[in-house]
Amino acid sequence: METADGASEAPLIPGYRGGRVIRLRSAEGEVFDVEESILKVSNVIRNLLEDVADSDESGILLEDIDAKTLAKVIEYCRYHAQPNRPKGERTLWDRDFLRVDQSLLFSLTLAANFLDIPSLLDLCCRHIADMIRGKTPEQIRATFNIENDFTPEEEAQLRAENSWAETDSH
Amino acid sequence: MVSYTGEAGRLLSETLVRPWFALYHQRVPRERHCEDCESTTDAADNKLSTARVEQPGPAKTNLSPVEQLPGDVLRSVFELLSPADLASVSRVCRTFLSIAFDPALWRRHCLEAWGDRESLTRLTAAACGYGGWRRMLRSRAHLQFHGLYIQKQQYLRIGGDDGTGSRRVFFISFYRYLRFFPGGKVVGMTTPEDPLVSRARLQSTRWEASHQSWHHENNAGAGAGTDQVVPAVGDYQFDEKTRMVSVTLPIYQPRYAEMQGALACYVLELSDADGRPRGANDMLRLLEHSTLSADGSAPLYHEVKPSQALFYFTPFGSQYRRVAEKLFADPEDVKMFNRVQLMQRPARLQTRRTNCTRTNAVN
Repeated sequence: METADGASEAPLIPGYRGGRVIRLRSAEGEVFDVEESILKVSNVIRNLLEDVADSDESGILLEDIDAKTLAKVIEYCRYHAQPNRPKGERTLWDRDFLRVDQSLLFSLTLAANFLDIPSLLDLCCRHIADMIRGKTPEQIRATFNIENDFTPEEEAQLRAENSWAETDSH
Repeated sequence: MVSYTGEAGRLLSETLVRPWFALYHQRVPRERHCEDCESTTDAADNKLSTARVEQPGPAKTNLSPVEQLPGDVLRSVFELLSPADLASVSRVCRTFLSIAFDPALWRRHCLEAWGDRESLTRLTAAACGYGGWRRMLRSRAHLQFHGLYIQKQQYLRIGGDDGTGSRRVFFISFYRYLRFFPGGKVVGMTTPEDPLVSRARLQSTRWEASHQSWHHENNAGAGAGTDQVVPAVGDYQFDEKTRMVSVTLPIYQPRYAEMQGALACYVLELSDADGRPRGANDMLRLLEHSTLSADGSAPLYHEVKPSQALFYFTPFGSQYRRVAEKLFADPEDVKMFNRVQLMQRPARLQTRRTNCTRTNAVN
């Protein structure tokens, strides 16, 4: 009964009718009012919602997620909360969705991991794997701007271990 | 009753406070898992992958964002990579190495390569003998499943008199494609289409469906009289000791009734291509090629030219085009020859030429 009462409370977004609205706050304190139904994609938020009082005006503070990333996550949730979208359309949308710079890609990955959104995390992992595939170690370092922290001896040993996998010795 | 209430109350308050919530997004040092394969990881692996913990060396100050991803996330990324990519990744930096040498990642690939024939128990014992899953994957012969073995055939054909009083010479090329699947199934296709065109048809995911339920609509399409060469589903047997592969493929040639139900048989030897280190398993040498007709007559053996007997492995993925072009692109003089031939040909013969190519691509 209590949940039914909560659902009928005055909406936070004027003119919005339907499920209740959840207030999310990013690391910078920016406020996002989001319909509850689309946030169900995130397992963490779904669990949290069971605890958060309905009248909680301060909302859920997500300390580790900046506003830019959170907006992107909400964009993803909103699109995928819609049922009955054709699979091909979803795939195309997902591809466009991840046309972002690397820092946003990684913060999205972290957010998906943190909020436990399996489909978004899977999408990000696939994207990162595609960036790695078919590259030499040097090319991978250049792609992700990684510093080589092996000693020369370790590097020689690793090269001997893995020489069979070199793709550029055809 | 009292104790129950107390315990329940404690649990309830802990659940509501959710102390673990503070742990999200923190880098908790990963405990090494204690898996059945742990003992098979050899000393060198352990030394390398724990080097980071034992001797931090000059501490890395500027970690790249990708290295700051939680270990579990990186692991799920690496799970999507092929053994070759996994090996490259392990040479990038210590963070990557410590995750990429996780035996469980390599065990997955081993199970894929041999799991259809051997139980996990036997495979684990075998891995011990090789000094780890990763070592076994490198040292033990296995067919590659994530790409195509491609053979290019070329020959010159002297054409008939086309009315101009001179005979034309055609430089004809066609390809044989083999894609192996775990469990003894193979998809083969012989066609003049180049590797970039054929890839889409052979990589399509429906071939990866359960091996018991192959989609045969393609074969039905061939029976209906289409002229297009279709991939055929056949069987193979692989002997690890001798590295011999025998492949049997049904031949679908709607244009030739006498070939209905015939089988193409290849005997191949698996090895590493020249200049490639041991364990690449990326070359198949055609030793014997025969056709068995449906009426039970003696097999017909075809000549195998030693210079054109090799199948080269081309892995699917972003480098497919690069590898395929490197291996199979025509040299410049051949390209020029073909261009000249095409320009000199009267227009009315254009269609006949494609037929020639098709019919010659039968075997």
